[in-house]
Amino acid sequence: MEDLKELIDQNEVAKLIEHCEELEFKLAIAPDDSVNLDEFYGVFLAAYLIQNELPSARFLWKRIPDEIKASSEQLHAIWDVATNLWQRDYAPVYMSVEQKPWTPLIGSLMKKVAETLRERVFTLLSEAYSSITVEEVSNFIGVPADKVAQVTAERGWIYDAATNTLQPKKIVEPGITRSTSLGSFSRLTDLVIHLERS
Amino acid sequence: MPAAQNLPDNIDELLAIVQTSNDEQSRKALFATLRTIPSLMLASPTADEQDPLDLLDPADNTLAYAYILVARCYGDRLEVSRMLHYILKFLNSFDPEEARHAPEKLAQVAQALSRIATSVGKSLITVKPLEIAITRFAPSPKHLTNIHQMFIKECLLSKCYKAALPILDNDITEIDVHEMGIHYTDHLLYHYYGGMIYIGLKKFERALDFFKLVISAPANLSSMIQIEAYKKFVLVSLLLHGKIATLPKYTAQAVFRSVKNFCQSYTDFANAFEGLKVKRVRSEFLKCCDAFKKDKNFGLAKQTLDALYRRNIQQLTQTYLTLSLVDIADAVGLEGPDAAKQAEKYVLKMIESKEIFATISHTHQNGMVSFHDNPDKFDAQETIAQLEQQIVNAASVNERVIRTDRMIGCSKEYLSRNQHPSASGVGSGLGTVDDTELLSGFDSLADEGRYFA
Amino acid sequence: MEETQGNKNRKIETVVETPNNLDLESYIANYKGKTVDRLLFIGKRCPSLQIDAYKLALAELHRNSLDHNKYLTTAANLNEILSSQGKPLYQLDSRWVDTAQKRAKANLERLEGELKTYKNNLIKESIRMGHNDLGDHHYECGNLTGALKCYSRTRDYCAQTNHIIDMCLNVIKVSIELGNYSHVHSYVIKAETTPDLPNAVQAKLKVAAALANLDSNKYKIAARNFLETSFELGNNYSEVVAPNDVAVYGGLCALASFDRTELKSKVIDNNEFKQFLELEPHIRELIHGFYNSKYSVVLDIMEKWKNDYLLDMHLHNHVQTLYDNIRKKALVQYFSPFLTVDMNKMARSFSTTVPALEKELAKLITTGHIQARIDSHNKILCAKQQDQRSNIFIKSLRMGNEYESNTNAMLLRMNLLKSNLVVTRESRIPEDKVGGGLSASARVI
Repeated sequence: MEDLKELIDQNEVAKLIEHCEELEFKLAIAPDDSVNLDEFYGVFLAAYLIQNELPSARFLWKRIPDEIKASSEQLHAIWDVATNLWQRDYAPVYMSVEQKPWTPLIGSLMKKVAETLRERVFTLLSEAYSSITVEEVSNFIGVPADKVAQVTAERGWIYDAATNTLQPKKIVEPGITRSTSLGSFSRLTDLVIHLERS
Repeated sequence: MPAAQNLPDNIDELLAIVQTSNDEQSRKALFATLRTIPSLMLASPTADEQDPLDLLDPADNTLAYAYILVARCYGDRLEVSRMLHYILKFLNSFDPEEARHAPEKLAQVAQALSRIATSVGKSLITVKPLEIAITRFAPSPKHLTNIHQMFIKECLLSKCYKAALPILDNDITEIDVHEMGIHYTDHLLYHYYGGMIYIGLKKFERALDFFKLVISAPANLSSMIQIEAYKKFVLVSLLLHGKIATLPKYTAQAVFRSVKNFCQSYTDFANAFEGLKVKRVRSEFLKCCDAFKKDKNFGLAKQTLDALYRRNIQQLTQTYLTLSLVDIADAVGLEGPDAAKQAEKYVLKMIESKEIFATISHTHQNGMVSFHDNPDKFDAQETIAQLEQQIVNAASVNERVIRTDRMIGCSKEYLSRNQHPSASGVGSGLGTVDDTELLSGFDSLADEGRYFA
Repeated sequence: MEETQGNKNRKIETVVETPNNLDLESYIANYKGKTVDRLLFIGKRCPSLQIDAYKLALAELHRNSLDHNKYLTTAANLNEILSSQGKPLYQLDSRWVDTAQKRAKANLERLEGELKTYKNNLIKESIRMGHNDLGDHHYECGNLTGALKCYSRTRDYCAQTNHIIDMCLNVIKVSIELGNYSHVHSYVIKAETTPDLPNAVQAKLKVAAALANLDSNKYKIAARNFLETSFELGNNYSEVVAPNDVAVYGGLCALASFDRTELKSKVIDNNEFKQFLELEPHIRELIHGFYNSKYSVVLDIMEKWKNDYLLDMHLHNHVQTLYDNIRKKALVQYFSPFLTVDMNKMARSFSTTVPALEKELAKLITTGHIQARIDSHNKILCAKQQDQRSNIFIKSLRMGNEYESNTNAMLLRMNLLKSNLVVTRESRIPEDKVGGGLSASARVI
């Protein structure tokens, strides 16, 4: 469990997942009483949610032993968040993260769930909308309607009071290297010729 | 004949032989001997009540260890945790070379592991050991072994879908019946279960490829596995392409015939689906519901209904530059008071997954969607690199086809069998037939060379 | 088989409102011989012309036939309508029925007797004449299948080319009336192989072939047949079609199936066909209107004549398809020179509403007839800019993926075959492979 804490502190979510996956197999073969299973599965599940690996989260939920599920309200609360994410019903996600009595370890991960979700949603909204109502944005990012204009202004979104809508700022992808060089093209033709010959 | 050894009378004598068989010849003789020893003797302790498995090292005496292990695992009294320990020790350290002399033993050990796991209700414990065993046993990741399908099945049973990927993501092309102890069901089941894993992880394209491999496997008769694979193949096809994908030309006639008899509901549903009319698809879905449920394909079938709306929206992008959410809902067959809201959800989802490129505007009442072309101009270096990589892959795979082709062409066994109706169709020309298909595409790419300048 | 199918399709009865241009008596005067079926066809479908049509049919039957059966059923039909409208009933000429019946019987006996004698004498030409006369008699009595049988029998006794031509034309005429167009096809081909066909005969055969193609919805070929018909046809074939019909059928089929250049070279510049068009000036106007992109004129004329065409024996079943095709082509042609088009304007040109037009255009785009996309917000139709380069990249990437997986599959297959891993009954399935399968078992069927 100490390793897990360390990875959480270092914010290494991908590694955390890997570690959890290995630990799960180890525990299956050699149960270890020093591991708090309730907490372990909570970390594991939350880590999947941070990475938005929802199918994996779903299968993990299915393999958590019933007796552990039965005794842990916290696991159920995480799973409820997972279902909301699955259904793209984001407002309750932010609410649960704020209001549920998480243990400190899980609480920090759940906060991360909300943060990554908010970032993902910001990116999606700026890609998908040229204008969107304040109310919708409030639901999407879990910020009260009266604060939305302020929060989005930080990201360069423009508020139109007349229609109570926001115009998201498009995110310009950082410079992709454009390749139009003849060099790469001639490599291609070489290969095509190679294929033709064979 | 290597059976020049004296048959041992008890386990101690056997252990003595094992420990003295150091050269190749005596080892071969030992392997032959092992086959003849009754399990009762194999399962007995030594005269001084020691466990022979503690006396042997699975790395040095792989087969002897395996024979004893199997005899013990299938004995009357099974000491679960003790045997589990020996099995794991074996799977972690057996010598693959030696194991290939009796591949069925490895399968039996694996089977024993799976039985133990089931008996204690924890199939999870099989996953890692089996994965390790496969990687150790297979001469290359492209080889199929006799424990592949067992591994994937355990992944399914234990809901560890993701854990199957390190094995599944390698394409199997190599078959060695004798050294890997393979039966045709190994191939069918492995790819069938593999397809199910990919469905669970929503990697539908891979799933489709896997089911295709099952359905188009060489066959004089059709296997039930092929029929079941066909059912899933139909549904995954609809999810991805809106119609039944084409199967390779060499798919056996027997399979097509059985499909007609056993998959009527699925083909009916696919026919309805192709029209993309929501009402018709829904009513056909209700008719086929029982069949889907019976085959445990209900969840998958339900996903196709969702895909129907997505496909319809996709089509709208070909027809419209702008369209209101209300009209989108109407055009794709969404109904009810919140139809426009639902349409917006779909559009948003599809923008997120890059299925379409669009922006939604709420400046005007009701919401308006503008559809765009794919902004990717395919001039990023990664795209070019991707294409290059594909051509390199194609070239190497192509070379292997030619090599295998030549090898098979030379094998007498193959030539004599080539007369057989089911075996025909893989004449030496096949590699080239496919070439032309590929090259015509890359030709046209070369024609467009000016775009690179 | 096909014929019955065709007949079944034709059974859909539609009720036609009063046509705008049809004058029954002058219309029917275009035809000679058996005009009865034409009148009955109109009577059945057009309530406002029903009484007149039936009366004319009865008069025609009375005057020029021995078909007392049809006379009786038609009179019964007519009287049913008259009585339902409280009008005085039509007086049956039962004396005529009697005589017709007797004469028909007497003629039949006489002709059959004669034929028997000819057969005994083995004089080929007399036998042919005998069959022919008997055929004519059946035809006159309304027994079409009987007539067809007799005409077909003359085939073995034809000594000269004009005998063959007569035989073919007779079979064709009866087959058209029976709706048996595959027969028409084969006899047209047979007749066309005879040497030195007179122009008038050639024209008849073209028309017969055209009708057969029209029947099987092959509008383009039908159009070509009509357009190749010599004006010498005149009124020579009025037991089948009037020259006016050639103009109408040919014109509509051409509009529905030709592109602009074909329309110019094969229709507008076709001197022979021009003479047909003189007979139906509105069709000429229609073709020129279409060619000169005056679509509102085109649609006006089409609408005005629609009911008339729905009452035409040969055309009625195709009117909707032909009209749809013409409209589709007009929409496509309207847009073709532009990059963008204002849909409000376009809707006005096509006498429709913008939402309806939008639906029509969406369909045309989906089916690939128009390369464009609709800006539904601004109501503008925009030409599609094809990005060839991106398309090729997408295609290449996809093909690359497919190639790799196909080749891998092939490689696996070759190795499976090499190892003889084939699904068969003989191969024993080992214990460890069957147990606890998830939902598939290794059962072979």
